Amino acid sequence: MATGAIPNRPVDNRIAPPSALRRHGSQLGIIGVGLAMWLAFVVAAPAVFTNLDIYRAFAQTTPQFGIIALALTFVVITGEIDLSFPSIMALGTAAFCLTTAYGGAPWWIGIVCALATGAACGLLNGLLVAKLNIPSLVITIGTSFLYRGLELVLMNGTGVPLTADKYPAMHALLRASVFGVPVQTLWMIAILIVFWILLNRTRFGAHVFLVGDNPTSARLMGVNAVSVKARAFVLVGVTAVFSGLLTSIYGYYFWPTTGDGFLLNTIASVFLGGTSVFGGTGSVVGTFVASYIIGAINAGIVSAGINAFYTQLAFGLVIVISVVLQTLIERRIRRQSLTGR
Amino acid sequence: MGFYRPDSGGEIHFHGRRIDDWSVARARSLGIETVYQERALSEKQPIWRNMFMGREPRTRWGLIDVKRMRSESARLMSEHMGFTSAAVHPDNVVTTMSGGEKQGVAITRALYFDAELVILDEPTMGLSLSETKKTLDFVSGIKKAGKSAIFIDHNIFHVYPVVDRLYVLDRGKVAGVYAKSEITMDELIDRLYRVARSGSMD
Repeated sequence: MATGAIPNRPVDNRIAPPSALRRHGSQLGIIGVGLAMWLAFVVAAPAVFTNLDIYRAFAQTTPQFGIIALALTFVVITGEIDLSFPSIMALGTAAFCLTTAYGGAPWWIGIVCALATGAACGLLNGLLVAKLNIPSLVITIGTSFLYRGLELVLMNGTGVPLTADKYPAMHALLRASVFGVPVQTLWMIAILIVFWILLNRTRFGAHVFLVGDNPTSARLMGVNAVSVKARAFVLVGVTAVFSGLLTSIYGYYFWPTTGDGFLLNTIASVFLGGTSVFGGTGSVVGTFVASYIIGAINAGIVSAGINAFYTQLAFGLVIVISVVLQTLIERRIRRQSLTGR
Repeated sequence: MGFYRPDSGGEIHFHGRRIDDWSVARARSLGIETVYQERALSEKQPIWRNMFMGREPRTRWGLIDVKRMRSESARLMSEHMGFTSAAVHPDNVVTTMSGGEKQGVAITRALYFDAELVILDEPTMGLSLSETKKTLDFVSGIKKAGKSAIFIDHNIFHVYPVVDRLYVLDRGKVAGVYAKSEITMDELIDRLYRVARSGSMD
């Protein structure tokens, strides 16, 4: 199968493009995994999986972590990681509650304050990582406690009800359906499109790849690695707060523990989507598909009539097998291109 | 140490003007391009991204012009580099190329942006014989194109054939300056032995 390309090797001046498999291998892989899983669910529980309701359920809950995963993809491509976003979700939403429920400001001022809080948290993470060269794995554990602690102190550990009659605009924006499609997924699709353009069609995106691939080369070629990394972290901060609002409005209540349980789902989505932990390669489309796979496993297992205790097992199997396959495919492609020249 | 900045007492002049605020962007705007020893490539990225690193062309919408980056890279690779192998399609990642091909990308990148002065820092390091020859041909090509080059190397057999003027550096100081017409390679080798032992060329 892999040797099928050899008869087409170029003669004289023709230059052959790399195969589609080579260029989009990891994305095709994850889409394949997603389809296979979906088929398995349809076979196991046809009554549930031919009904739209189950899809509506995924479409409402997956974006809660999937939107952050899209932004986290940028940070991972630069070769870093952010573990503080669950705390930023809570701190940003706390800022919203403080300005609106306690401060009496209108909802849109609350949103601006919340997103600004997220941007500030992300900027602090980014500067600590990029400017002081502290490993992001270490420092974002620290800032995670910092942001969570700040939120608990500010809120005094209490929650805030976010009912539809108090916040009608917020519920319309973040919880309603548009022509039957949950607005959460519409937001995620919109953010995917914006982030795809940002990553693949702007200088910032180009520099995200360069910085993650080889920071020394990037610097020698005039790329400002500090600014690129800081902006990637700001992106995570802002989307984390957006997702905190999405999650809290969905539950009609702001819990001071908002964000707990989001960490691993989100990070798993990024890696399952084919973004390399070594930096320099990655795709937001892969992350998007992987988020829905992870979002579907839980609901899928339960509605297929399997004991819910199997959820984590299935989770682990899908993630481990996919990542192993990605690594094997990538190694094979690389060897093929080294010898096929 | 002089890193980005000359050592104390040193000055850098370009076209008769003293310049102190060096940065990559400043050097580029003056028409100075550099080919680094470590090639300064991003190996997991396709050739077209490497060709335009740090100065990606943009469309009038402010987005990077991927189509142009691809087609320009393809043109440069075949016209200037004479590459015809399958490994140098613009969409190929650099990691699949040979050392000489990688150096070809780094040098083509320097020449493409209409440099007036190309600085090459040990460009032949780690290359095979035929790849070294190709690289030296590129250096001669810079001169033929009416541009200047500063060629930094340890290997006199690589340097002597392609240069007009030689500066010998020893222990951080200029130990001697020669026009190629003044000195044969053998004489120069003798003097290099002497300077290595005694610190003086004569």
